[in-house]
Parts: sequence; structure tokens; C-alpha cells
Amino acid sequence: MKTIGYYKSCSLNASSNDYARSLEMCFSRLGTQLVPIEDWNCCGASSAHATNELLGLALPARNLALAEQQGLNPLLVPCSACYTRMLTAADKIRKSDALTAEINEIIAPLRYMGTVQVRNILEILWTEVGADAILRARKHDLGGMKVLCYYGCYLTRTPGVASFDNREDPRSMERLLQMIGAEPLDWPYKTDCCGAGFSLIDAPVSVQLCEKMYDMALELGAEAIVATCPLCQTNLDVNQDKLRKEKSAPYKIPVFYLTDLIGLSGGADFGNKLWRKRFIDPRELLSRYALA
Amino acid sequence: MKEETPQEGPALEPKRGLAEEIMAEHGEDVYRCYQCLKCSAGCPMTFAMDYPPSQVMRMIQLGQEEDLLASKTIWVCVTCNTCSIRCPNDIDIALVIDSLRQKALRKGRHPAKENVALFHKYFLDNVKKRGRTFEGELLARYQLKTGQAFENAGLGLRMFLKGRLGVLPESVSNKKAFREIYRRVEERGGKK
Repeated sequence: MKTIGYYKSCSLNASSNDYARSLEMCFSRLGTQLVPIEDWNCCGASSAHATNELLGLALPARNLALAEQQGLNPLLVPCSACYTRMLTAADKIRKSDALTAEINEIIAPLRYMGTVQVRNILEILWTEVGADAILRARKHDLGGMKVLCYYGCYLTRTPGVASFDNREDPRSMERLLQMIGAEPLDWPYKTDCCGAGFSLIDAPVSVQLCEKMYDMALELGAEAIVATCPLCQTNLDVNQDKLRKEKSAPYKIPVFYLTDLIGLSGGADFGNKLWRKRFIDPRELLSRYALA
Repeated sequence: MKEETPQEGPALEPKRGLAEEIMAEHGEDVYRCYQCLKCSAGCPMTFAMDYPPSQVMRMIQLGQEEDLLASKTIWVCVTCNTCSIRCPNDIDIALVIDSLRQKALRKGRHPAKENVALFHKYFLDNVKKRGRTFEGELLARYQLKTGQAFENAGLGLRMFLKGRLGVLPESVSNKKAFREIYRRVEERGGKK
């Protein structure tokens, strides 16, 4: 079985452990085993770069050094926020000898030589796992399920680094979902912001950012939203629940991870254990399509 | 005839204002901004800001440092990077806003959005302890301090019941060695 290194970060380890399960099961159906970085640390998320530039580069660098040492290259970073932090650090270090030297003094005795290729989930699926593996693994068809692909901020927006897909109108997630029989709808908010960590700091800000997306989803007749980032998925899921309670809003749109749907197509049996972890329960929708 | 010697005047020092500092420390040339307003048009957070990003760029050019360090904008920006990738002059605006926030903290300015500053501090304290976040502890500490504990208790409980809150903290193998990273960063004042 092919192996790919991955950064199993804080959220995948706790509040979004359902994503780690979905990822690992999905990849195993595609014939790939995910190998976590051993002894990884938090990348510093928004808080590090927001308040201390050097810490925001040094924390990801420790992970990059470990991945390099452990031969995990390319490295899959499933959380979009971690992805942009790791990619930024890798890129800035690669472009500057002075910064490389400084970072290596800070993370010593570890040492980073600058070789790790940081990849997001869409890049890994397209270029490492291969779209043909997704086609070959198909057992179930999604039967034209109407879905909205949500890329959020960081899959395509890391300043200074070329993006793998169009920054403003990416299509790589739609193409994957078409392969397994879903019907991705066009919509204007695919790269809008969900509020990210503000859901913890100042929740109404995040609710406000998500609300217009739900209204658009209803207007378009979407049955589900598909995300790839634990923070995006959780915000889009939990904020619907909040609006249902506070404003009796009609929102009840399941928010999947891309790997949920590719996994289901490949015959993964996620079972109730996974779906119970979501706030908007997707089981009714899945049973309509004979997928659960 | 006595030769005239040029009069000695004050030495001509290159100006080093806020824009020059940002250029030297972060490599971003804010003088390139010509106020096309594309950043402000695309920013999802202007509703909560006192100065939209284009105005921040202008204020930096004019050296209005204290107004910027006291602004809400620098604490409200979520670094979604929309401004940075749309700027026709290739200014990483989100990074420039990061630099202002970092400066406000270094200079000990009172943050216009105390909760945001507090969250970042608690988050980084939390990571420093074990190398990984322990979400339960972080959120309990933050929410108790900011008085949001009650309204968020329901969500926390549901996350717990769904098996999505770790009960025991996890850590890197050598916490002492990990904390050296923080110490060495602090030694350098957090600046590259």
C-alpha cells in the first residue's frame, strides 16, 4: 500500500477527530495509508503569526524539520489554516538563507534543510493519490446529489505562493465530486470566509459571515455543503444549529468533508459513530441516496 | 579671493517613518498603494472595522502610527488574505496588518479589541505548556475570563458528548526542549 505523510494536527486530534477518521478511512479505500508526523507540535494557528512573526514561522518549522527527518515528503496538511501556515513557513525559509539560519538556531537541535513540499488535500488527491484511483474505487454513485463546494480562504489564498488552482474560482473539488456522481452547483461564496477562529473569540461575527451562505444554499436548492477544513466544517455546521435555535431559521444543510463523500463512493462504512459527531445530522440525506 | 566653502547643514538622513520600517522588517512597500480600493471592496470584515484596509495603507504612508496601533481594524482582521491576493500592486496587506498588531503589542498599546488579544495570548500560553493545544482548558480559561462561559457552556457540553473534546491533554515528547523555541524567539524580540 502506498503511504503519504500527513500533519495530524490539533483539531484533527480532538474537536474534529471525525475528520481524521474520515480521511484515514477514505484514503485506505483509495489504496493509500496516511502516516502522521511523529512528535508533531501545534503550528501556532492564527495566534502566532498575528502577534509574533518569528514564532509564527518557528512553530511550523519544527514540524517541517520532523517531516523531513522522517522522510514524509510530500506532506499532506488537511487543515487549511495549518496548511497556509506550514506553506508560508516552508516558502519563506526556502527563499532566504538568513531566515533558514535563524530558524535553525531557534529549533536546534532539529535542523530544517528546506526540502518538504507542503500540499493540501485537493493537491494530494489530484497528484499523489490520482483521480484514476478515485474512479477505480467507485462502488456507489452519489446519484446527482446537489452539493456546494466550499474552499474557504486558505486552500487557494497564501500570498506569495502560487496556487494549485484558480485563487478566485477554483474547480478542482467540483471535478472530483462529478467523478463520483454528485452534481456540484455553481455559487458565489466558494472562497468566502467563515470567520475561522472568530467563532471562538467573538461568535456572532462568524455567524454573520455564514448566514448569507445558508440563504444562498437554500435558494439554489443545494442538499449539502462540502468542505475540506475542520474549522470551516465546524463553523458551517455549528452556526446553522445556532441560527435554528436563536432565530428559528430553516437551515438544515449537512456539511460534509470531501473525504466523507469520496469515502462513501469507495464503499467506506463510516457508520453512525461518525455521523453522530456532526451538528446537522446527514443520515436522512444519505439514506435518501441509499448511502447510509 | 577667498574661496567660498559650502555651508555645513544638518546631515541629510533618509526618512524612516512607519512605511520605511515595514519595508525594512517585512519587505512590503506600502508606498506602492495608489488607492484603487480593491482591498476594501473585497474585505469581509469592514463592517466591524474603524478604518478599511485601503485607509490603513494611506495612514501608513502618512505615518499615522498611533491612530493605527489604537484601531479596531488591526484586531478585527481575520487574515483571510483576500486583500493580499487582489492587490494590483502586490502588497501583502494582511501581513502589513499583522505587523501593526505585532507592533502594538511590542509597544504595550491597549488593544481596541481586548478579547482578541486575550485569546491569542491564552492560545499561545496553552501551546507553550505542552506543544499542542488542549482545547478544553483553553476555552474554559478564555470564556471564564470574558464572561462567555454561560452562553457557550451548551456548545461545549455538546462537543464533549459527541466525543469531540479531549479529556486528557496531549504533549510533545520533550516539553522542556519545546519551550526553548519560545525562549529563543522571545530573546530575539519576535522579529526576524
